[in-house]
Order: sequence, then structure tokens, then C-alpha cells
Amino acid sequence: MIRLRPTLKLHAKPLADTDIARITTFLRIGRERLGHDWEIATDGGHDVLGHLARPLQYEDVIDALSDLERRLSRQTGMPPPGARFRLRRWPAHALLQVDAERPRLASFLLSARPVDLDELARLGRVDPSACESFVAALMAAGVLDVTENVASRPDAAGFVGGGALGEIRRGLGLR
Amino acid sequence: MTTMPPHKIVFTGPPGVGKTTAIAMLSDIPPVVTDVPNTDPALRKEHTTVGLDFGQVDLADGQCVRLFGTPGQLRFEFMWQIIATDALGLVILIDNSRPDPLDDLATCLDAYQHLLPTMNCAVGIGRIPDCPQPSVDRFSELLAARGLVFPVLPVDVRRREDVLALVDTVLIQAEMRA
Repeated sequence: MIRLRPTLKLHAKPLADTDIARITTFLRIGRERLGHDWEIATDGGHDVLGHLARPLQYEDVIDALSDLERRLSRQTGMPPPGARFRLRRWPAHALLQVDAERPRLASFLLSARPVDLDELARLGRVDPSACESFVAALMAAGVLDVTENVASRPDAAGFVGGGALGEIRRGLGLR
Repeated sequence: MTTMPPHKIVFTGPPGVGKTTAIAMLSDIPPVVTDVPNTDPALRKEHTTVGLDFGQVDLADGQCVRLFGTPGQLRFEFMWQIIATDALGLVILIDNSRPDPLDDLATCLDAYQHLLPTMNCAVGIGRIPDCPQPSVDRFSELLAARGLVFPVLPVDVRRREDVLALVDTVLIQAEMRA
């Protein structure tokens, strides 16, 4: 018996809406879903990154893509999605002086309660991409504890800047 | 009606690091200083603080933040912990032009060792442009060797934004504990 192994072509980069639409269309594969095992491979099929047994299930695709995202993040040094971070030591000055916001961002990472990238961006009121590159640099420097697959917790961004401490910030002219 | 105790932020460090100047940068009132003519030639300054410095930031809700500066000389060490107890934050100032700034930091860490595990704290290293060694990172390493992780930033205490940057990191720590 010849087993067909169609390949899902995926590119590890943010997808524009049109690409998402294309993938959505591609995944509407009808009864082909039932008849074949599937592989997730790099463009050209050089490297097989994952296998999906038939019948192809939506949850399996999502799980495989999430796993792939985490693995690729580790390979590229980018922060794993959903991970939380905490500084284990204060970063080198050369890392901080790249951007005036970085000492503030690093201070949020001192908390006993690790924060994720989205929360860090909200706390620091900076662009998420700035947080991502900073956290990637901290990871490369080995000064960050990374916790993956942690249950979500209340977001600290809601209360930072409020209450008595918020009054002090305003009194000092701090944002 | 109950009134919240006023928050206080304490500036500490060896003599001549600019604690009085740092407080003056933030205070809404002329700082109260307890300086006397200096008789210690090693300090290279005309006056030195023998009691404490005091400044105040008035808040819109009628409350205030009190800014305290500790006397720098080691013989007043007994006052340091008293002043820092129940502080919202502690800013340790170090002068990199002094003979052994790393030892100065170690002295402060020893003096506040019982408070530091729960203290919101930042370390400012002054006169880095003139005296770049030891590097800022060496101070972080000293903290790490003691199991402490606090912000360590270069500071020019004559620049309000530099002093504010230190206080900002202290407030962030307080907010994240809330």
C-alpha cells in the first residue's frame, strides 16, 4: 500500500490576513483529511517538523503548530509563546542602555510573580515588539528564568499606576 | 477618620555621594539639612550631614512622600536602619570616585541586610563618566553574589531625571508587590 504524505507548508513568520485566509482555505481539505497521514515540513520538504496521523483533526493541527512555534522560538532565541519571565540577576548595563525604557521593563521583571510578554508590554506601556526583543536579549544573556505552560494569573497591569502609589507617581511627575 | 502614615523614601550611601542633592532634586520644599563643617580630611568636602536630610513631595490628595537622607559616615550606622524601617523604598547611592566603591556598597548591604529581602531598592552609581571603573556591572555582580537582584543604574544626582529613574524602579517594585 502506498501511503501518501501531503505536506502542510508553513512559514515561521507573522501571517498577513491574506495568508491566514489562504491557510484557512487550504485546511478545508474535505475528505482528503480522512485518507492520508500528514507531515509538517519546511518549504521544499527538506525537514519534516511534525507528523499528523489520519484522520486530520483540527485540534491536532493547532497542537502541532503550537508545539512547532515553541520549538522554533527556542531555536531562534525568541521568547516562547505564553511563557512567563523573571530576572535572576540585574542585566548588564550594555543591554539596558540600548533603550531608555529597558531599565523600567527590567524592574517589572524583578517581581516574585513572573510576567508574560503581553503583560510586560502593558505594564511598561511600550510596543510588544520592544518587549519581545528585550526579553530575547535577556534570555540570550542567561539572566532570565523562563516558566512555560503556567496557568494565567491576574494581570498586574490593572493596578500598577493606581491607588496611593499612583498618587506618588503623579506627584513626582512620573507616568 | 484614619490617616495613612506618610510614605517615605530613604536615600543612603557613604559621605559625599550626593544624598542631599538627590533629595533637593525631588523635594517640593527646601530640604532640611543637618550639615556641619567637616573635620574629616578624607571626605574632601566642606560640610557633612550628621543628623539626617529631609525633603517632601506633596501629593494632590493632601498626602505627602517624605524623603530622608541618612548621615553618610559609618559612625552613624546605628541610625541607618532606624530611618529605613517601614520605608517604601531605599535608594543606595555610590560614588565611583571614592577609593573602594564596591566596598562602600558592601558596607550598605551589610547594614541593611535584615531589611533588604523585603525592601524595594535601587542602586545608583555616581561619577561614572570620570571614573568608569569598577563598571556598573560589577555592582550587579556583587548584589548577585549575595542573592540580591536590584536595579543598578548610573546616576548624576544633579539631574532630576536620573534621580527619578531610580525612584521609578523602586515604585515599580512596590507596585508589583501590591
